[in-house]
Amino acid sequence: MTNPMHPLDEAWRIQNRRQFFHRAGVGIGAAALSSLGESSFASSKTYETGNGLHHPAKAKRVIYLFQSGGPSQMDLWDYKPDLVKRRGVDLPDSIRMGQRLTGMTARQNSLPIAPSIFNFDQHGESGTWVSELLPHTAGVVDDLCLVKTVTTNAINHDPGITFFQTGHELPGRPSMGAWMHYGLGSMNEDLPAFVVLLSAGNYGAAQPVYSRLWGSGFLPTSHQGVQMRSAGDPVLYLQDPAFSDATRKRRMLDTIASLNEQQFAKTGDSEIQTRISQYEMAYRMQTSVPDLTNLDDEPESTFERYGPDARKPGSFAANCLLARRLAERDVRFIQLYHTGWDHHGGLPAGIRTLTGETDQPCAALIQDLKDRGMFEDTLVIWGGEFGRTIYSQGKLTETNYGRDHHPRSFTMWMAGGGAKPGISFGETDDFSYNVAQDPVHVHDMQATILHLMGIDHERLTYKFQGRRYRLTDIHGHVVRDLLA
Amino acid sequence: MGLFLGVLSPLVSTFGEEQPIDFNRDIRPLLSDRCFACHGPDNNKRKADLRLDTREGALAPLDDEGSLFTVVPGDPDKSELFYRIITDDPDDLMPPPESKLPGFTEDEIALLRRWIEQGANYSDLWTFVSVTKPEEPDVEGEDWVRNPIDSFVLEKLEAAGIAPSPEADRRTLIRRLSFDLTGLPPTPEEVDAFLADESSDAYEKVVDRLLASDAYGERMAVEWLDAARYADTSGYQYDWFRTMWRWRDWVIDSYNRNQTYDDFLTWQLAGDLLPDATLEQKIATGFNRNHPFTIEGGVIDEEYRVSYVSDRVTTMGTVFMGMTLECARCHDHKYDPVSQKDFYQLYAFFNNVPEKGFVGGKPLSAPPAIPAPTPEQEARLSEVEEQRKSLHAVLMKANPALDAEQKEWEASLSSPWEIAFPSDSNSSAGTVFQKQQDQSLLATGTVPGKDINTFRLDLDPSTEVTGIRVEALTHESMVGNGPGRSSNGNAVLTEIEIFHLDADGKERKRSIAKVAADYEQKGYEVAGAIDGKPKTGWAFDGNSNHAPHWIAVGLEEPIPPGAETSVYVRLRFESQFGGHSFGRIRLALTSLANPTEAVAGSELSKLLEKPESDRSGAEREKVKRAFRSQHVSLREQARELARLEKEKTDIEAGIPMTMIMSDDQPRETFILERGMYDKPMEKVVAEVPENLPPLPEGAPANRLGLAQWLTSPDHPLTARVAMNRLWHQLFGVGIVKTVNDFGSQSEWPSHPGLLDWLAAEFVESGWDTQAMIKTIVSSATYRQRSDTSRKLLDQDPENRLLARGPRNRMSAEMIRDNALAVSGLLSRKIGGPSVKPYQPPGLWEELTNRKNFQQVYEADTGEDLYRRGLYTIWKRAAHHPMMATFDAPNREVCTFSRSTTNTPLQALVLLHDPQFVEAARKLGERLVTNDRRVESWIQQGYEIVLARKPSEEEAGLLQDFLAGERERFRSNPEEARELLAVGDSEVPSDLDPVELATATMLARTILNLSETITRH
Repeated sequence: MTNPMHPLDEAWRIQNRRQFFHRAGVGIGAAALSSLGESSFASSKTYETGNGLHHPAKAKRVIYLFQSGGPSQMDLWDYKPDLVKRRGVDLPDSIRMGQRLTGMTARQNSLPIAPSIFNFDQHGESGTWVSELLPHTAGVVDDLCLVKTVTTNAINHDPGITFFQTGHELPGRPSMGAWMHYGLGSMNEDLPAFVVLLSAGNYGAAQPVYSRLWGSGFLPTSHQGVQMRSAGDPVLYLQDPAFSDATRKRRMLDTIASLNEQQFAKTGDSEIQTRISQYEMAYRMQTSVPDLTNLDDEPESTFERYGPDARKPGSFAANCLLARRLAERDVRFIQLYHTGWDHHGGLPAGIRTLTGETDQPCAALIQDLKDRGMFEDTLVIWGGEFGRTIYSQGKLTETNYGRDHHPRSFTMWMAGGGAKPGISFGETDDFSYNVAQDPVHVHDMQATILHLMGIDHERLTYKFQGRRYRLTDIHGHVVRDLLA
Repeated sequence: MGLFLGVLSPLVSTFGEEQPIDFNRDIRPLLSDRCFACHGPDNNKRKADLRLDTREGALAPLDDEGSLFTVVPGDPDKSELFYRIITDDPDDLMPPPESKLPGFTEDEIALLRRWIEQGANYSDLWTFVSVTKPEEPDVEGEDWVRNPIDSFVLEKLEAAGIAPSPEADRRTLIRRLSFDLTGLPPTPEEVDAFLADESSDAYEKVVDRLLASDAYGERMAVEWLDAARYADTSGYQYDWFRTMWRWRDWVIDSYNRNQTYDDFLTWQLAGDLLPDATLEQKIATGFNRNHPFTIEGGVIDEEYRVSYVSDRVTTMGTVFMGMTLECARCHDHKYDPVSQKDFYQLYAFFNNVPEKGFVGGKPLSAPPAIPAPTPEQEARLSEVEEQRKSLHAVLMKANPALDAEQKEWEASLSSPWEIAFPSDSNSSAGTVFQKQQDQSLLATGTVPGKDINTFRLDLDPSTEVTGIRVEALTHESMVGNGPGRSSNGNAVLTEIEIFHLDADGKERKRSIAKVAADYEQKGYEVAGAIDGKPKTGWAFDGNSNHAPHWIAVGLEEPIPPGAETSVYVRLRFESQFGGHSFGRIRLALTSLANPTEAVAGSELSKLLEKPESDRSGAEREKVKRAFRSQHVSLREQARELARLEKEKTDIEAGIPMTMIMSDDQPRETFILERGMYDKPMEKVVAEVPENLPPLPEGAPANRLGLAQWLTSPDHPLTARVAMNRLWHQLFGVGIVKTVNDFGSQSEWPSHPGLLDWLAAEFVESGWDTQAMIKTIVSSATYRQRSDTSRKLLDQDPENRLLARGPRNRMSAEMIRDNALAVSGLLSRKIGGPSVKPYQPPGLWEELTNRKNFQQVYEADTGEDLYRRGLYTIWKRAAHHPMMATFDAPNREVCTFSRSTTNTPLQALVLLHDPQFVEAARKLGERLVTNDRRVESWIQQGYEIVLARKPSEEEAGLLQDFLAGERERFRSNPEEARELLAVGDSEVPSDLDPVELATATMLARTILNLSETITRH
């Protein structure tokens, strides 16, 4: 690729490479950026891959299993056996404490308590109570760092999920993955650093997702997540629509590169060099992405582990398996979305379906990462945008109930990547309604996640319109008790 | 950044040691960035009661004795401020380590020291001080100067010891101008014309031509649509569709008319408040309704309404004032002299809209909205209305003779239907028909599951036939007397057909224009009997309502007297319910003009039942019109009138709604604690910020007054911000780099004098945008070559001193439009609803699978596949991947400065997006059609796409490449066919596929060059 006639010396090339990595965010990551100035990187002077941006990192990568819609904490994790005695009784005002209601239950006459109809048992050495809905996850409960007292500000989906993914309820801010990409750069040269996988399927009542959840906000758009799709080209426009002959592609790319080189020699425009490199990466992706998504090399045991759905492209199981393959290839941030947890009515049937789809793949992913020695430096996160109310939305019967959105307290878990295993953090009140002890705000979760990745959430900032913005806005504390 | 400071900072520049400190340039940025957050304008959160944003605050004593001062002018060592920034004691150090703010560097400390030594002078935030037009500076190299812009630029270059670049060649200039002013490439003919034009104003002529082209408005609109967050969906949750394209078209039109900027601003902020506001002025106010709105069930109405009003304040602040007003939504601004009260006083201007936060449903617009016909619709409507009126007058003209005839007609209408007994009857299921006394036919025999009855009616050669009626009558032989033969008395007529038989026995169908019945069962409406679908049909609740019923059809074309000897009526009873056929059938014919009306129970028949004296004026008109419409002397006119009325209804139904502003719901405004919708505090009224000039005298305290305030010549921000944006648009970087922030945190302008000169000139020109563009692009600064050298890159990597011309990657829109233009595919249709070009399947569907909210992307066909990029449907939750990949924002919020990234995904788009492959094919077709020689293709390809000739090396490289390609296609023609199959447009059959495919590969290569997507 090098042009022997090149009039410009090596020093200039280095400068160009810097710009290349800055623009593209690939390759050597943030190290190249430190000299580009304060507005890009608040206080980072030295950083090498794997060492963290501000302090040593426990996790090299994140797999975030977002459960959109709001999973019901009291039917899955937050065991409240005594509530059976209060079935049908109105939620006491002393508990509700003026909590605002969504437009959906604001006009409901009563708020009858609906205890979970599911059985719970203690599992693992930790003796953690887990619902019968999660038999597989119960098997790995000693690996989980369960947080029972997550609390958020939003009570509706759009602001709720936007808050979790961007630190702010309204659109416009960068997503968590974009921040990580911006802060840490990439660990590989053949794949995007921030990949998004959506569950495909027909859930009928599922809430939508939107590209802002993996968008770059005001950060350069090269930091946004790249969707890897289960139908058609896994990465948009990956393959030539006409022919697939590799030599043919190579010849065209070589010609383009040579012509571009000549222009570079003539104009000194370093963007041209960057573009040459990007065409090379595009070429490599045409091999690396199919290698990634082609599951033919997986043994039968893999599919037994993740469950039969793992053979169905776009299922949550298949995406969990893909997430492991992406992690193996050192993709930095792997964001999954599974939708359909929004059980306003018919919760028992609905949640059985959802846990049927997700329980085994979650457990499989953890076990798989452990078997491959990647669990220690891969942070897995499970959770939705809020929890659900203890009172029934709509009619409460012996076998059926619904639950509305609940922001005050709900359950998430982390695993691996420096999260403390085998703990249940925080206590909820008797109604799984308020935090009784140790609240963990969304911004605290975000600060903690960044901390595990070697980032000080107060120092990973981007100056936009006069202000230093960060993922955690002006809030957030690292929850030390969650660190291994 | 450091390198930039190397050029512009007084410390390391060649400006000389003793240059005096300029507070705004040298000191304010430092204090603002590290100190103001705690010691700035925010009155509520100020720490240690110390403020550093005013000199008074900085000089005030720190203790009661008056022995300790933050700043002692002239004496840094006695100034606490200086100690605090240099100390090693972490308890004293500022900014404190826990703030995580970067400490002061040695250079910055030296600057602050010199500032105190020189007297610690303050000046007001420069952007808040009205513009004074600066003198054009004196420069050495006057020869280079074409207009005052160049003097300001050259002054800095000379100070830095850098020479400007030579003027670019004409090919480069016309390509640069064409993209900058129209977003489209020059054609080879335009390039040649410019090259050949030896007149002294050749350049000016090109500029004028480009400014006058329709494409200018489209190009300018793109930036404005970003700033105004225009989109075709409503954002939030399901991201449902909206129609706001009339506003978008207004923007294009406004630029093309070169509307002055003060009007452009005023119409958008307050068009509805102008006296006798026109439709266009109201449409323009959609600017303030472009924000997202929510339809998510369960949201709290006021929470979102507050967010909409705040969005308006924020967007106005960014777009027109370059201020980050949103910072003051929750508290006093941390950096700029804008209080929280200021924010809510501005909020009060936008708080009177009759709107809701929760919009709900799936609306295409949220109130307030108005029908906004396009000029074409308006023109056609008024034409139609004129014709309709005159035709109506003809039809209803006073005519005593006709009135007398009408009396007879009315009398005859008591029995407008002539009973017709079939001369032949047939049943597909063997039903036997028995003639009854009243000329009906009774169906007898076994009740069949399905049946098809056909009847022949012989026609009276002297009578016209316009309609046919079929009665389903009751009879004691049926369950509950019928009228259906089924076990419950009901029937379903799945289809009624009218036809003739040709001489050779072939059926010739007659079209049915209208159908009516006296009764319709829900789900079995009468329209189902003429829709050609066996699954739908007409029924009449015969199981509970055992009464006779009728159905009547009106023929599209009447059967003229004597034209046919007979007509056939076929009744199909093919419903899934067995035995649902008619039990007793009677047929009748009519020659009435509106046969479906003139039946028992119809509107006309009801009117005719009334004695004439009891009819209202309108009712009389109706009867009169019905009579005249069927009268042989007026029938044609009546038909035309009906057609016009239908056209009018159709046009009206197609008029887009557009959201507008309105002050029809005055509300009280309160400061909201921390911006929370449910925490009102002090009440405020509409007023402009305290630290900016007051509302002009006599200006109303509403949006119109606000617009007058913004456009008053002494407003310090409006013209500066607009000119900086224009500069940013043409050069890629603003004179103030932070285009959206002119506050304390803004970056010091590279050429403060130039910015103020442009702002003053803008106001003097009468806010003439095109005049300013012409001034800028005529400057020697703009006309420089854009290539660079190692030395220049080291001296000024970001080209802030402008020692070379602008060089930037094109926007997503330009990249698309360029490919379509050079291929000849580009449609030049302007405006209209947004369109759907090719897009990989599933991108919308995979985001939303909720029932009733699914959104399926179906690409358009024909011309709409090839429209300019700004017409591609802008879906906020999933913008078109080509656009998003090339940095088009999702427009959920106001954006001005787009990223210009350079990524592998962009390579994949240019290489593989069918739109680009197809464009390459069509470009290849142009090349092959013109000449058969590969050398000529290469020449022309470069001239068409790059406006230049290829170098020998380039041509050689491409020839080698193409020789190989041709060889491959020859030995594998299947590959050529596959390549040529990409895209909807036709492949000419007279071209050799191997040649065309080879030329397509050449075009693909050229379209993928870095140069192709660069304005340089």
